[in-house]
Amino acid sequence: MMVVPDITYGLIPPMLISFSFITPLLSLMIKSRRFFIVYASTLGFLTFMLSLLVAINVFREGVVIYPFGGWPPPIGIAYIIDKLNATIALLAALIFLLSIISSSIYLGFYQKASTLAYFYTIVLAIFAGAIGSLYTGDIFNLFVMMEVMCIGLYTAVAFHRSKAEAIEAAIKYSFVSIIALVLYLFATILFYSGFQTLNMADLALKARGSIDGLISGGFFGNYFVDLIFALALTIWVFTLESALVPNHFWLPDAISEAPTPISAIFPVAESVAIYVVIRYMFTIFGPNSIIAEGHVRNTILLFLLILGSIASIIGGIMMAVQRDVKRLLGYSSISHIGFIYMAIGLALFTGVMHRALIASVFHMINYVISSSLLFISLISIEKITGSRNVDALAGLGRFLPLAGFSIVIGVLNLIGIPPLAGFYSKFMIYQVALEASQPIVAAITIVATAITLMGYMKLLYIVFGKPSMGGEKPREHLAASIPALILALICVVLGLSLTVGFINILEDVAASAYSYEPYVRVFYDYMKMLFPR
Amino acid sequence: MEVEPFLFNIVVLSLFVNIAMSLYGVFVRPSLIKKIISLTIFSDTINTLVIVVGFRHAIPNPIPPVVIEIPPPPQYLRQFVLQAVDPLPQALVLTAIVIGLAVLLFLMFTTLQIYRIYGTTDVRKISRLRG
Repeated sequence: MMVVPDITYGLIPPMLISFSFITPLLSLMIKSRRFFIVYASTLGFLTFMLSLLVAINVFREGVVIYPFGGWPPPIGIAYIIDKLNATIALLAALIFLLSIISSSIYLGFYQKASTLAYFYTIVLAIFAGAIGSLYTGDIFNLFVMMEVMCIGLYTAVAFHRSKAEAIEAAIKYSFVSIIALVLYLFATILFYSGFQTLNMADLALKARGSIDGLISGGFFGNYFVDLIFALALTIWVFTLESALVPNHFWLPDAISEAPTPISAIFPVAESVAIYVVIRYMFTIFGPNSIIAEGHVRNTILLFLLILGSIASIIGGIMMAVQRDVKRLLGYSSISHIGFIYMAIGLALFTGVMHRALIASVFHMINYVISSSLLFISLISIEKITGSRNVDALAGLGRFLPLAGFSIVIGVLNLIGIPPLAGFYSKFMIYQVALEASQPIVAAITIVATAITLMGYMKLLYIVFGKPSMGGEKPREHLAASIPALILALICVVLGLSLTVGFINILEDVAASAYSYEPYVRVFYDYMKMLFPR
Repeated sequence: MEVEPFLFNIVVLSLFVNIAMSLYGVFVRPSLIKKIISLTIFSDTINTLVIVVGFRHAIPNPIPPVVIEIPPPPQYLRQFVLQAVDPLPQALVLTAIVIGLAVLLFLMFTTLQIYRIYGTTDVRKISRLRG
């Protein structure tokens, strides 16, 4: 029996990469600014629809495997899509689409069409890298896709190339990130040398010691030492890419100096790195795998828990002393990344793993939506004064009702005010910490929230403060305000629908992170079908 | 002592020394140009290390993973499987080299732009951002 795989599962990254590469060529022939905005928005919308289709199919039929180029999985690259990465990819595609639409306002200053073409080349490359590293089921392909995404991000940070701060932030970010990704290449080859495979499902099977019928053979050499070394490198690299505390220094610079639509994409890039950590620690090397021996897994998760607690507090303290709005939001990102890693680290205690994963995934969704929402609504507010100082922006939210409303919803969601989704995710972390009998962690969630309150009050002044300037009333830019409003409504809807069904979806998503059987089964069946023994 | 394992150990050891030296260059030397040179040495050393992982010991010598006789007779194929080195790390390194080229170009452009703006490539003098 020959099975032709459904092409929609593997279409998105190659499509986006090829359109990204022809964009600069199009700019030689087409000199219309409007064309490039419509072109990028159409591609964004198409990708969003495709990822929605993939997510619906995955939720209806279970885990999906897509062998790239027809090569069978352990030999060639395969995409393995389950509920976890389908959901995060859907979220990422939504944020990218809205950010592309709102960038038409941000780029209104530039007269030449070629500038827009370069900008959308970068954005589409980041888009392809993000979706590719989410969908992929191969650890080397993950490296390539992370590189595509990160090179796009460096270039995007350096977009204002004659501005001293932007170039400095770009070189700071790119040096650490390049070294980290080269070390990840080394980690993949260590995995390969110990386990003789690069496929995630294959690795997950071998990590549980079952090598029956695998065409990639058995183990090689002293694979446990290889594994510990490689896993330590991998976790270090991806905590750096997601800006966990000792390695957070690049994020505030990069996120504040990047163009604002790109700043709205940074939370997605971080969530991709967090997804990789979840994938490694729960699907591939899960609780019953080889690294549970000798407390290796518990030690790594304990480190993540401690670093996450420190991050949530440091981010909050640094937020309080910032004057630049985007820098303030950068430190708010660090604080929320800390919360997410805290929830991941709590999974080391027996009995609360499922609920800890629900909390971490839900908090990640909340954080990405509300942080991107704040950046997108800042686009139109920034445009009035051209300044990013919090005091200069005070009261401007009154003139722009839609953007002002979105900012209020986003800030309240990040603080965690009851009817909104942000409250429930923080409450889940608190509850999980208590269930695991860790009152100190529970207290840290409360203390960190209280500390971040000082910083978020400054953001609320944008709407409720007293406007310093009189005169003409600024115009609301609908292309930037409507996307922000959509995200604000999603925040409200997620919080309200939690009790009426959304919690079931979250439970499924979290369960797909650690229940490796469906993930491995689809790979195993496909391999058996092509290589019957 | 046999010569072959001795030489192999020297290669692996010198690669690790190389990694340490290049990381010293990246983190300690103030000049951006020297940092970039060290970064290139670092990524090339990792690439070489990846190829060394794919090496295998064979008598009399390992051969490159290329089938020369087509179609291969069974006897040739048997010899090939016993002697050829692992082709997969070499394929990975090809991809990594291409990515390294893109990264190097980006770094060169950024350094040039820093020189135009600040008039220096000394990182101690490039500190407009704080906090």
